[in-house]
Amino acid sequence: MEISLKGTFKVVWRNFELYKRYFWNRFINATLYPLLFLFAMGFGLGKFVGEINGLSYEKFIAPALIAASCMFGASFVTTYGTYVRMRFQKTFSAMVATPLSFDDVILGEILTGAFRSVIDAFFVYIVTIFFGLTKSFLSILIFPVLFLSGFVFSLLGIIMTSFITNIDQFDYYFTLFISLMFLFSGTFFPIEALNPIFKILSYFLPLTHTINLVRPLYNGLIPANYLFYIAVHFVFILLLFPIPFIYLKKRIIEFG
Amino acid sequence: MKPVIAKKLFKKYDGLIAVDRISFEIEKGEIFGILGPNGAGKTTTCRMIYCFFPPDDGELYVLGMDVKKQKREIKRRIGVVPQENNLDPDFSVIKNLLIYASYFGINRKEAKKRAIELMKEFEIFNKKDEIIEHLSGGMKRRLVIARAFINDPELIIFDEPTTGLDPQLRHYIWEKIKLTKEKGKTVIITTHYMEEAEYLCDRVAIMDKGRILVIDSPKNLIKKFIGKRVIEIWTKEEKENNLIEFLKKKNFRFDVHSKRIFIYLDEDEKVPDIVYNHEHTIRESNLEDVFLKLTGRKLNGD
Repeated sequence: MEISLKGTFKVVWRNFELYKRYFWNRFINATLYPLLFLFAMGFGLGKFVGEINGLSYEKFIAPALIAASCMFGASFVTTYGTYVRMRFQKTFSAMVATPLSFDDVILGEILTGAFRSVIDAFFVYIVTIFFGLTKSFLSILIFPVLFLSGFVFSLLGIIMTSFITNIDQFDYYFTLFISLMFLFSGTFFPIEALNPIFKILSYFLPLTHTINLVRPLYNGLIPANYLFYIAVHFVFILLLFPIPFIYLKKRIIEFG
Repeated sequence: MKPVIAKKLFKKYDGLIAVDRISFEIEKGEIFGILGPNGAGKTTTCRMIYCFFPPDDGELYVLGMDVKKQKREIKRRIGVVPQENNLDPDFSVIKNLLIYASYFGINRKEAKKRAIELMKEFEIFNKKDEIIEHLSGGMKRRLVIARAFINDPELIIFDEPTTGLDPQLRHYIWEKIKLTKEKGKTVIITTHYMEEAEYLCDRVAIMDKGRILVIDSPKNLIKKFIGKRVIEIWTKEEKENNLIEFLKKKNFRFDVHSKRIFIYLDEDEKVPDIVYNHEHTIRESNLEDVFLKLTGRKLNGD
């Protein structure tokens, strides 16, 4: 691999400049969705739910929604965003004609997704603070976790981008995978409620492990088995990391 | 040291042989044209030179460096004008230049200075804060070319720089390319416009099906393969044989394509009288004659 951190940073910076330009648009899109869920489910449905594992329902779902916004943030950037840059705008072809390498560009895109996921999650976090859902300093520790999680989702997104042949195929990814995770990773109810087979399946969904870390931290508790959950994130990263550097590179060349 | 040295370059692309063991050298300060029909391997050759992908076999040295080993350093010192405009559509003109400069590690102050110079040189300064999406096609093209100069390159590659442009802009770009040469830089240009190659290039390589057929100056190629003048004759079916018979007997050099006959004349050769019995034109020979003679007058894929 030919990675230069300077080069990678320039790719991230270019994407950040774009983010700045469309800040309000991105900001509203990223925060509104989880907040609608917070209002409807947390403040609405929550009144009828009572406590789950000692947490009020809104405190139960708020950190999960923050984690979900992290997932959505990373996923959109590295699927639609990366695909459009690669195929239609030929941004990457322009970049690799300069001293930047393919690997700088690919890592830059992955990191862009990871940073974006943290930024998106941050805004949702701020709003939940505004509603007084957390007062714990420990809750700040969710951000390193979310960065790791965003890295995993960026890898997944960019791997999709490496293999789809038509931009519409991202719909499947979002419906079958991202939405599935949004609903069945212990977001709105503990996975213990699922039947045993689905419970086992949910352990293969990265968001489950993110939420296992983020939910206690957000509420001022040290997560049980935190080393295990962190390790799971690293395992996902190690397994997925090499894939885009082979296959996305091929696609960039293919699209010229 | 020669800016480009290629030895037995070989590249497969999409399972097909795109470049088939070609060798050539480019001299410092020349405008070198790579010509050929679509699919001849021009762009593939260029892309290997600017390190977009490595050759599968053979050797390629750019500015004295091996494309397999010193990609970053090569790319730092060359400029690329791609076939398709790949500007950042969401950014302004100046932002495009500044961001592109950042990829070269040019510091912000210097980048700004160069960006302003280039925008003035390419007459897009008054659009400097305009978003790319709002620019005309011609302006986008000028910006893509200006952008290729941001790192003050020693070697500039123009991949079909004028395809699809109006004549004014074509001539404008031609002058810019000539000026680049005058500044002592080496230029590589791919094109399938023969008048463009004839006007600009010191030497051209004509490619077909991944191979280089000839390399020489346009003038020498015309002299060698065609001669001074060309007579084009439109024939009617029944008389064609007589005429061809005659040309063969008198040892004229000629080509036949559907209902047209092309007769090539050297400086001292006279126009045969028989020509006057047919609808015809007599004109100066040009590089297009050479190109068509070498790559065939048939359409690609026939």
